[in-house]
Amino acid sequence: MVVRSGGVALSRRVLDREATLDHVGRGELIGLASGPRASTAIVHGDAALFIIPRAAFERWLVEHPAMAVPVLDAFAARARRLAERLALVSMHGARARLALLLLDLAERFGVRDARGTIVDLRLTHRELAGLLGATRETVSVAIMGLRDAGVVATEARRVVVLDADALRRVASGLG
Amino acid sequence: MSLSWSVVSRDAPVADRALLGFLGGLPWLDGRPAHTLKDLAAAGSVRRMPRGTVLWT
Repeated sequence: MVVRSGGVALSRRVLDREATLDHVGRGELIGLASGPRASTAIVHGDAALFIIPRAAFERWLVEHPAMAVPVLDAFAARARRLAERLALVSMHGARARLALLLLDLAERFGVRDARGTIVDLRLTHRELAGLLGATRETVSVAIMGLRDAGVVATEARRVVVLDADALRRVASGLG
Repeated sequence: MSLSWSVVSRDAPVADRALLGFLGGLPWLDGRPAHTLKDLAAAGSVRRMPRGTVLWT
């Protein structure tokens, strides 16, 4: 499948918690792996998906072998992002991890407005916690701190990055 | 939605041309010739799904 609009959240249940692994957005390729699924995929916001039967996709690749290169590049980019997310979970405190995550989401899903960059995903604190490997309570406290410091604002379950430089300082442990 | 050779013509339905344009604009397919993308477009279909739809579990 290719996400044409909207997004898809990929998650996996670990013990009694649903850990969000990734959010994929417009233009990204998902669900190509054969065999048992490694995650649960749920549409995040109304979405339009371009669905390609696996057999047809394989046939297309055989008929256009040069296309394997960009497809591999797309999956390599996803693997790199997941590796970065894994590193994110194992480093820093929750506040710095949240800052790094928000910078990443702002870059990939950001919409500019006069105030800054709106992360155009309606994420609950629980979903953010799943992405960070933290508890919902920890995320709520961290967001409140960033909001009080004027670094971000929240509206209708969306985060607005008001001061990206300050967020970068927080992400590097300096803020 | 299925596509045919018509996607490369100006007379093609707007939705078909939009899909071809979308595929052509993907970072991982950027700059690929239209006839190559047409084959991919013809193999698939677009489905709209509301929030909360479970694609797989």
